[in-house]
Amino acid sequence: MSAFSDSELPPGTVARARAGEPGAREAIFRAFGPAVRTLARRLVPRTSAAEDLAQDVFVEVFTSLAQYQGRGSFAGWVRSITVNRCLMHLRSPGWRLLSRTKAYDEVQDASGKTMSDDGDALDLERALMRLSDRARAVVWLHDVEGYTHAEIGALLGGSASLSKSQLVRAHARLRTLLEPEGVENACMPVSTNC
Amino acid sequence: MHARLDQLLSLRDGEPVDARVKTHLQHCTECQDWLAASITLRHRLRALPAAPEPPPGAWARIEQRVAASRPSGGRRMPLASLAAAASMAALGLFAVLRLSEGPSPAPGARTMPAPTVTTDPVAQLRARSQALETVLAALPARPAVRRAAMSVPIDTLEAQVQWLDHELSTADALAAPGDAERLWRGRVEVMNSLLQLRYVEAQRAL
Repeated sequence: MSAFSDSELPPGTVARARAGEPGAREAIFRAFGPAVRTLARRLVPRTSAAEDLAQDVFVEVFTSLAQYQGRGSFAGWVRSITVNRCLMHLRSPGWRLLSRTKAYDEVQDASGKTMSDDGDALDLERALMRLSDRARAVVWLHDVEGYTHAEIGALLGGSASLSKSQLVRAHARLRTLLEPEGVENACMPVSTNC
Repeated sequence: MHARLDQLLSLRDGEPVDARVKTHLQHCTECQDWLAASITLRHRLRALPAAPEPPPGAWARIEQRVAASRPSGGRRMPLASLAAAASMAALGLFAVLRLSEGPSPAPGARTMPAPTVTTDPVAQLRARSQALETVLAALPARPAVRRAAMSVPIDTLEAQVQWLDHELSTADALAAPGDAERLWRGRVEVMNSLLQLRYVEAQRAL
């Protein structure tokens, strides 16, 4: 489940942060830091870039607090800023150039470890990172963050059906990547001609 | 014939699917396995660990950047200008479309801040951006109940404007000539799109 749903703030924290109280801002950072950083790192498979983006997110949150009108949840607002930041980064020419040359092992963080150390989770994390940026974003936003296909389609500049077809292909690819070597799927019902 | 993966994912997500797919699934262990695998995969994704502790000094750096950021006054017009701009609401889409065409002044330019005549492309783009801000400010407030299909792209565009504003706030430090022009051009394009979506949203809310 989305880490944002677990992030809680004491009542009045946002109002105090809006009034410029540093302690309230830090409380927001502490409450949403793990969720923002996790989402950034799942969408952007380069640790340093993801950490920079997470910082950018909080700078934007604190400099744009006046624009949060309290109509939706604060967690949802922070999450939408995070998603937008990350998707903009993935669309940037610099990232596209880098992603063409980066090695798969750049998924690992600076200390040479992935976010998972458990065998199954590690396999899944590696498989996830081998998806294209777009496919990974669709899988994560839909299956973990709970975005609808219409929302994802809009974010990616496409339609709901585009999002759905990306999800289908990504699931098929993940299943292939997660199969033990030598084991082939008897049938992959991606099409009706199975 | 087996169920397609998109049908199985729809089943998993509780979306409507053809009744024949459900019937087929009752008898096909292979498709049942695929459905179970899709559900398991979602559970495994959600169970992946969160990011480790932030790097040392992360909060201090954010504080510094927030303190260093200029007070935001660039995007929104002062109250007096806002009130004047509100009178332009009747210009509606006509003005919007005219503004999106190029640097030539819109027919309603009498009611807008007079653009400075200049050949500097950055100054021209800045003036267009300001004019678009004026029209945007004149639109009614966003509806309390919003359609996701309209709200999400608007939120995205607003975030892009914020990001461009941030980039422009550091434009003095831009190394490559032309960066400021590129950013301002991008801002005008994003503002055009934002304005058109906001206009459609406002029309639908009527």
